[in-house]
Amino acid sequence: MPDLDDTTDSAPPAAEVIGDSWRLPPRLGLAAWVIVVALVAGGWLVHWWGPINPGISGYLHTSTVEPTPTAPTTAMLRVANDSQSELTIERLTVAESSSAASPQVFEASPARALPVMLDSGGGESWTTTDPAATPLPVTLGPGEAVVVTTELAIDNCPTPGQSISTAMTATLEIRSSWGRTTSHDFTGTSSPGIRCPPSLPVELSPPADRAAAAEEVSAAFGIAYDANLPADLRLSRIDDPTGVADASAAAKSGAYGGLTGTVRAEVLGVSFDRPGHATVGYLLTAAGVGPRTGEAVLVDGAWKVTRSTVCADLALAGVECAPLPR
Amino acid sequence: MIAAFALLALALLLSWLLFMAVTRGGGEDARAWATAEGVDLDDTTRPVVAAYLRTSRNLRQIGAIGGYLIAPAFTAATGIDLELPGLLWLLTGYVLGCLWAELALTRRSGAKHRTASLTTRRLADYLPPTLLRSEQIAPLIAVALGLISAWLIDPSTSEPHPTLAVAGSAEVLQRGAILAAVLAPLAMAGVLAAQRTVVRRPQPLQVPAHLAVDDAMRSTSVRRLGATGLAIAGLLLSVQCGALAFATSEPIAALAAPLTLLLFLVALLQWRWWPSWGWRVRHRRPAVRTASLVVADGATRGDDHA
Repeated sequence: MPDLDDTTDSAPPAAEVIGDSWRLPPRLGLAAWVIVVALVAGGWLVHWWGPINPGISGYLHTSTVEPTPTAPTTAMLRVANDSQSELTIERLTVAESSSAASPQVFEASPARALPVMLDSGGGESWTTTDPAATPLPVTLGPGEAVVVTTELAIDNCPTPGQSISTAMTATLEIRSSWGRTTSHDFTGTSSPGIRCPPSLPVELSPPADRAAAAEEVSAAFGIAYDANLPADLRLSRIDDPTGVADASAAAKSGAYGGLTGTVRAEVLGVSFDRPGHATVGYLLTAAGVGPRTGEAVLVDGAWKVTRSTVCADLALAGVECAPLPR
Repeated sequence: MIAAFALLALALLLSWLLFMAVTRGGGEDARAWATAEGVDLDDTTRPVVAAYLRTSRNLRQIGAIGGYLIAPAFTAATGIDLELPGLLWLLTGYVLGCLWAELALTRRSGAKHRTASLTTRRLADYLPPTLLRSEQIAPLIAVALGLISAWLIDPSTSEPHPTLAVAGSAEVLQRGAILAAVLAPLAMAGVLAAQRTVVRRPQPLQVPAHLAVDDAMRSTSVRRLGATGLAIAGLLLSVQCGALAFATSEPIAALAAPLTLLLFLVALLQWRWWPSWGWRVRHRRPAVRTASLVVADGATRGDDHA
């Protein structure tokens, strides 16, 4: 392996010659130190001016207040500018991307645009479903944050009673003070999942004013199950309240007594399947059970919850209604 | 704005004071080095060795400090998190400083014509076999531990696993172990390439005493490079063992836990030990052979000289 030395007897190099056979440039330590200091100082100066990739932090929080189709999944995206310079949000997309429990639900629209509300914290907020209509770009100063909220409601449940988790992705395109645009994704999955309403029988004899009747049924369920209302009022919305007051009191002092005070009934759907009778799909909120099916009957011109429905729900708390006298 | 510049000026002043502290003292003792390496120094080689040791030491230390400081500055400037421990950047800077010191030192024949050594210099002659073997085996162990981590660690475990060496969820620990399996071979490949570069640099020296000193300096450099590379690999192995210790169950966890600490200690101890452990370079050449090129008008290639 011949290796040639290119240092001949020409003019002495501008370097420290040590001995006869070696050459070592002088002040290498100083040169190295200058390079290190320059790189470190340069890096922090750039940071002070504004990072090339903006330092943003954020999270997408998705939640479903109640597991019902009527309560939409809410996604809240909060993005904070962690850098010392301004940055600009140039584009914002929030899309529902999947359904963990039932992917076929959104197969037709895997990434549809959702209504978006952006609140810059300065009193200015807006809501839109049209990305082109958004008042972007929005500039965030150092330390400022922006909150984006969006809602998603299920418009077609594949299977009654099935729980569907929705995943959302928010994509932000941000331009730094260096003019560099970067894309940032935030994802979140709704928890708890949205539960589809139970199936109801075919409606065969709807009342003349169906909407008013359905509203009355919903109101009857709401009152009968609201523990904060006077007992007399609640019992008045039950077709036969015999023994219900005692069973309810027993439930309050039972193992699930804490829950009975907070449970409410939210009606998901009503089917007037025969004259004077309705099958009702409803949800016991905060009870941790899925959608349930009950009955309402027309008594003296007023829709009331049936005793069997209330007693079946009290049975969930381990309390049985007393048998009706024969 | 004024406050920022005042802060910058203060930082520069502090850095200058740190520089003076680092480079003070003139480096290692040439005589002690010669004794350890088994070479004799005379009046011509002693200043050479002293200057080389001083410059090498300064560049290594500045490289280490630079490696430790530049990584967070890079992250601050770019927003890209390099996600590696500071100690690894420190060692990387140390390697670069060591390599720079060696590359800065050039050899000259002092003759009137160009000369070239015809002797083949091999890395194995400049390194203890144990060190060379360790450099080859460490990356393989890292790859094996990476595969074991990918196989045994369940990333879906949500419990946090805080430890001294590593921290995070099982997913983070597994990712770190796999990353270490990639980084360790890369680091050792870089170190081996640097060592070969150092060994194969031109050596147009004609005085046997100078050759012996030059070989000893090269050997010191390649041992230092190898030891630092092994320290990097050892720390990465320690991270992998830490991941296995805290994200797997018995008996793997019980085996990996003491290895985590052991590897960490061995990595640091061998780093200090190998460079100072004298090694006699194996001389394969029976005599110095050179080829000469007459540098003159109409340059003609000369004959080999024995």
